[in-house]
Amino acid sequence: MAETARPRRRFRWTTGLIVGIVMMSIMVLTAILAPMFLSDAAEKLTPQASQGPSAEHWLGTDDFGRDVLARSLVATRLTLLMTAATTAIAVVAGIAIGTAVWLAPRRVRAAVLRVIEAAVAYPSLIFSLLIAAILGQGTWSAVLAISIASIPAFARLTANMAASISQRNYVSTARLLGVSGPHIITRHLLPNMAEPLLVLTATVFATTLIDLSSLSFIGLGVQNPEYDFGRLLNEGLVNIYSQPLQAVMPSIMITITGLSAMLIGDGLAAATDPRGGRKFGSLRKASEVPASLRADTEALVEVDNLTVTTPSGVPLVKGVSLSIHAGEVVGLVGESGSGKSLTAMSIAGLLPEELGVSAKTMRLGGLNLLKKNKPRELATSIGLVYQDPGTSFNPALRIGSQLTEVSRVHLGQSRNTAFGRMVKALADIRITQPEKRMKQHPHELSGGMLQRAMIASTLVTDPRLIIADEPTTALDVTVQADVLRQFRTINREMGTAMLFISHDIGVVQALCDKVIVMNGGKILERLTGEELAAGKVKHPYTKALLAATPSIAERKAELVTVSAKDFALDEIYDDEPAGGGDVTTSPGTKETTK
Amino acid sequence: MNASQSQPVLELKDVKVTFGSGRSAATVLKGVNASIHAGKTLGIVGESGSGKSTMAKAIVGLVKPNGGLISFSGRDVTKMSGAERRTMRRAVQMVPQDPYSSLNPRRTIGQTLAEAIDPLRANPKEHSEKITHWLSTIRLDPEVAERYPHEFSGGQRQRIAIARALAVQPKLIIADEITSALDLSVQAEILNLIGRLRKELDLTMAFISHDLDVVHHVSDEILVLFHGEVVEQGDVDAVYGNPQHPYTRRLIDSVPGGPGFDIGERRVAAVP
Repeated sequence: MAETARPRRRFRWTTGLIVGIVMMSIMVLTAILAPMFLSDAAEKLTPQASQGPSAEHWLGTDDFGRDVLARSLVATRLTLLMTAATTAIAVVAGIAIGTAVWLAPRRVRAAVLRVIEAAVAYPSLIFSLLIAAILGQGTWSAVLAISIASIPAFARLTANMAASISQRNYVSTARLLGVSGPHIITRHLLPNMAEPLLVLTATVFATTLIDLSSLSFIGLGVQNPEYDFGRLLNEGLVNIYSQPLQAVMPSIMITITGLSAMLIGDGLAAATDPRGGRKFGSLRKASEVPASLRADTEALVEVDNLTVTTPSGVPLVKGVSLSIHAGEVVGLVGESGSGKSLTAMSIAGLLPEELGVSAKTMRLGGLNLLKKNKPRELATSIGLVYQDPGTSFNPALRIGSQLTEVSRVHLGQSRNTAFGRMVKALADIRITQPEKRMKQHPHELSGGMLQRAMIASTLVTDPRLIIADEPTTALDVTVQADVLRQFRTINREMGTAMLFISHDIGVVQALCDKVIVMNGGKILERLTGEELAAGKVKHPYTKALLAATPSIAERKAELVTVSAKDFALDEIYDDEPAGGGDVTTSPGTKETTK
Repeated sequence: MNASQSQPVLELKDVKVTFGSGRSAATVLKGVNASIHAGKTLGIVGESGSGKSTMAKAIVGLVKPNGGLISFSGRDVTKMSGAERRTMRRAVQMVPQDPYSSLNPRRTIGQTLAEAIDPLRANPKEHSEKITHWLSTIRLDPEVAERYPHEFSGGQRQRIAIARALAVQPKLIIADEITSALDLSVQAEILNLIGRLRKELDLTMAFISHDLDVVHHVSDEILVLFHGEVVEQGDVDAVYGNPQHPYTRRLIDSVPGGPGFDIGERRVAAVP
């Protein structure tokens, strides 16, 4: 099973994050140290008023003879304290509201969410101005005003995240266990949204800083004799032409603080994004090894010693050889990770480009599948049926235009011709009201009908091979029987060869002429469908698989548990001759291992 | 044994569930009757849209029925007060389908099990004995209690989810498609575990699945749902061996490898 599906995330340090943290640390140090050493210079009134820069006052003095640089540095403490307090109030209240609504009854939740949305829609600065005007001027009224105005946005984001997490099974299970609401929040909701919340907090910090400074700047926030960056800007504005430096320093300080918070926020976001840091190997064309001389001229499809490797050189398919004769249905069966889908998709030429594919021979008729073929040739030679009909159709387009795409694009048929043929194809497989179906959207049809329509559409190009990747796995059992019946009819009446991939031994043995059992990227056994159905299997892995399958035909007291890793054996009961002795990796494979 | 035979652990009488109202109303369960006796496993089969998940949700109380009654040990749940229903809740536990979203990735296995044993404090240290006991019940080493879900395979996670349900010591366990997301070999591992637990702990269970082979393997009785109605219920061998309803017949004949399975003649001279 996919044990590595959710690997533990490793924290990644980015340059932006490091720069942000260094800048923020400098600001915090300034906030601590500057008031201790520079208070006098910053606050003592001296006769040297409105002076320009000098050795004594690097940035000059203000109207009252106070050192501009010292004032800017000392103001850092009050500004950071106010911003931190505002952010804390906004974040704590926002999280409390945002998570609590998910425990409230449905109607209360809906009402609260609508109120929050309305509050978010109202411009927050105007909102905070209103609150500040009501509370009066002053430091803490500014803090309250901005924090109250920031709560709705934070609450809404928290509620959105809590909404998705509260749908997870472990939350509903916790409810069944009788865990109380507050405990569900602290144990299950918050730990699972800690990272995005941290990122948001950094962003809120930056915007709060701007909002607080704006409030002080227009005179509603910090009042004399206290001063923060915004207040200093307000004082500097009066002398903007005679003493421009007086306004420059607080602006720089605001920018640095805001920037460092933003950098930390972005850095945290990048560091916690599990998709980040994924490295792709170099793209590589399929190797162009000439077709082997021992090609089975009778076989329609011949694959000789196929290997598929990851960009880092890990082999996923380790030398698979198989052939499909005209009119033959070949089944590939195996558990997840056995390489069955990779094998089929390399034949269809549909593997992600970063995977390295090489083989001595891989051909369909005269078509060399190792080369880049014209899309038209591939599309008309191979018909593909995917696992989930619900997701392989585009929900926004009508069925008709999707089913006729290959005929229109690759066969150059007119819209009307393609439409007519498709209607006939649908009628052939006894889909009712085919013309109406063509005009419908995918959600209007059942999964089974979509899958049968998909199969019908592969037939209009008269392909030589149909590759079906778990085509019945997502379907109900009675619908599965219908679809299998359809595959059987197509094979019997049109003689189309098929490569049928499934994890279900019952399905494979019922439909396929030949069955290939795969495990760990290798073929372990080849047998006929009848042999499999009769239980005439030789390889221990196939035997174990059969013994692990519950069946309505007989009740087994104990199922045999198979560990796929215990069967890392080679194909020991192969009745076809294995590939020639010169089984070596092609030059192409080595390139990817670099 | 006779007393429990007379009174089922779970009884559903004419349970109706309708979603929506007015013209858009959809009746998902149309008067379902069912009962499970102590120590027995009822297999619930049906295709998508048959209402089997809704039935499970109605039993655990996640969906409120519009009509009928659901009773545990003879007491009607639909008429219980909120507080009574909350205590009743722990008597029915559900093992969800997806082993990946059923365990909180940020809590150790020990913390997850401790929460099942004691939802208030959930302290794994206080309950280490019980945690060890339940882990050994599902054949896992006691030291895995310190580890996080991502360190386990799908089958192991599913076993842990089963242990969490067992740790509550419920009267009824509902297994909702618990093997559907698993590979064949892992499915065998879980089915064997369920088989052993049924014997060792005398479990009462509702086993929901779309897979008729699997239901046949684990169940004593079987209930067939079709479009929100029970079309057939009875002893598993009787139903599989001699289905009375045409839908049941069709369902059983659709199982590949089963005796009635037929998808038409093979192509002549398929193998040259």
